[in-house]
Amino acid sequence: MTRVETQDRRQQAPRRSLTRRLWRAAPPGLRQPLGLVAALVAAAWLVICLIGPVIAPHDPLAQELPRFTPPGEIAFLGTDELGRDLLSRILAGARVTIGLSLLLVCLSMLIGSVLGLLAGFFGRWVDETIMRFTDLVLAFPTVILAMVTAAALGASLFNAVLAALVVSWPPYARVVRSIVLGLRGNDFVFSGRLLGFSAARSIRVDILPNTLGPTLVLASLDIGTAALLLSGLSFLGLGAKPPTPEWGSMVSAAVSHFDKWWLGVFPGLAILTVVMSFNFIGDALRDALDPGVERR
Amino acid sequence: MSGRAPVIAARDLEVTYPGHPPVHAVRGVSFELFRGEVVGLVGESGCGKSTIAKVLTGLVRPAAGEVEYHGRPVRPLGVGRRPLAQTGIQMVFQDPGSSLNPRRPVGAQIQDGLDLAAKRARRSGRRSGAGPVGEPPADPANVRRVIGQPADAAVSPTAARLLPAGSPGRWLERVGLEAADQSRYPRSFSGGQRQRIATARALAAEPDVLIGDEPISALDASTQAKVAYLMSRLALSQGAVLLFISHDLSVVRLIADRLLVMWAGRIVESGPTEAVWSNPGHPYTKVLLGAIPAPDGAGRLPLVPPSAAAFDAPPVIHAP
Ligand SMILES: Nc1ncnc2c1ncn2[C@@H]1O[C@H](COP(=O)(O)OP(=O)(O)O)[C@@H](O)[C@H]1O
Ligand SMILES: [Mg+2]
Repeated sequence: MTRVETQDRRQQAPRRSLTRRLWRAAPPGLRQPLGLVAALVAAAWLVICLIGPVIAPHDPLAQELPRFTPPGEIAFLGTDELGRDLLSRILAGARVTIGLSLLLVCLSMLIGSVLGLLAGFFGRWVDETIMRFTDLVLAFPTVILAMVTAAALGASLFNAVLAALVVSWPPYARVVRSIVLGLRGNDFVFSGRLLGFSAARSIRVDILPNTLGPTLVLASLDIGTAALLLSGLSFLGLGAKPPTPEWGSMVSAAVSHFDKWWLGVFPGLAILTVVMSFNFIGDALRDALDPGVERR
Repeated sequence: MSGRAPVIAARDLEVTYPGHPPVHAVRGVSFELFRGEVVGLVGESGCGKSTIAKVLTGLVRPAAGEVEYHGRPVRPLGVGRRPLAQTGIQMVFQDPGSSLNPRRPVGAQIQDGLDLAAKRARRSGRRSGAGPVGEPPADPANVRRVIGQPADAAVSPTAARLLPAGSPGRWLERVGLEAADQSRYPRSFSGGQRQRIATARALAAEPDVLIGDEPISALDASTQAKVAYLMSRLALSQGAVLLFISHDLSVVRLIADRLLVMWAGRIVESGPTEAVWSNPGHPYTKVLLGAIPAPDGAGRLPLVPPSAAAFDAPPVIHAP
């Protein structure tokens, strides 16, 4: 009986074109017009991260154009108060903002996962200690705590990432801990322990791989928020320092030239599209992976 | 049985789960299991069977009493590694949906069992794979218990010669799957196949105590007897004792030499399968037997259950 069953299963590998298979594999949330746009926008920004400086018409730092040129023939998106090309600065800024957001999200995931794994697996005082600390951090308003930390560390992009990291790991710790608590009672985890797995091996082999999916969803949901937090810190002067092409500080500089609308609008739009598209993708992923959420 | 030392023994086990109110799941259970026997532990759901299985393996700490394995107390499992000396007690769990890690190929999971056996062998200076693991015994007594089962349908003799005894592929063949299946993931197997794989993994560790905690309850009727027979055949061929837990007597009867009937945390009747089956002494056992449909499909109506007070009758012990 078993032999027949296994053979049946091997034969069902239908051949479809790659695009068709990608489409089928995509979460339902992305298989609608708005979702498709979000996915394309996010993909476009990721591409710009990679090749931005190559396609930029000017050096983002060069002060070589007339100052305050409105969008038009000389500069597609205009120039700023020092005669730098806005388009080139926005393209270069993608790498700063999105790159650092990805870094921030990866680090938060790493720290949160390690703490969540330890708390969930070992329980007792390990859990108590880690979770009380997590609650403590969560008790502060995120933005304010990040601002205070950044201010205390001194204004720099690196410190802004550190400050953002301080406030963004706790959700990962919580989620990973609750997943581990659920997994820990699974029969296959018991089986592993009965087969003589050490705690480290049990975590590495039986627990960790089963927490990765939900954690990655949380991470993708977090990229937009991270971008907003980092550019927010820079906007407040707590992040990127002047010549660096960073969207938040570009908007900040635009505030003192209110009549030159393009100075603020275009970097603002860049932030907006990044935050919205990544959030949308994260939502779609979460809906697809979480059977508890109603699908529209 | 007297004169022989038991492989594993439960001594006056009491288990209480914390709660409001606390659940007194096991109330004074004692029994001994001897090498080479298949013992059925039966009783309705919630009577404490899984709890006993978990105490035997050390997964649950008893409130009182202890488990002796080769004369030494079993240490309840903490966060640390299980003592190597106790890894000869292995278990197959009830739920085929969670008994295997969904993210690992089944071959790797069987390899964990093989690795453990090798490690234990190194520690004791013995070669693993050379142990009693081999082809099933041509014991007519075992074959008799299995109605209409060919004694060795699952094992293909050619493949047996090609693959080393201690390989995941060989183990998959022993449980009626194919060696090539080792790179597949659990979700691509049916429930019955997963329980076979879980059995292979547990037995690859060369245990001398194998506990099956309702390993067949989630399977459909046609698969139940096959998996139960497979487990007992492989466990016996390895010289292990098999404690086979079930809420359903009809299949257990086919493989068990001896039965322990449990009700509300106690063992209410014990003895050779034939004796308990043909001459149940305890009121609860009578109800349990009455609830089994006759094999001819005519169906047998359950007796009207007497009040629970009647079940409080003293345990019935049949002489071996
Ligand atoms: N982890 C637990 N916490 C609290 N109560 C439990 C736990 N596990 C089992 N129980 C209770 O203990 C009793 C015996 O359970 P169990 O050993 O699983 O029975 P069985 O395997 O015979 O169905 C039941 O009443 C059950 O609800
Ligand atoms: Mg149970």
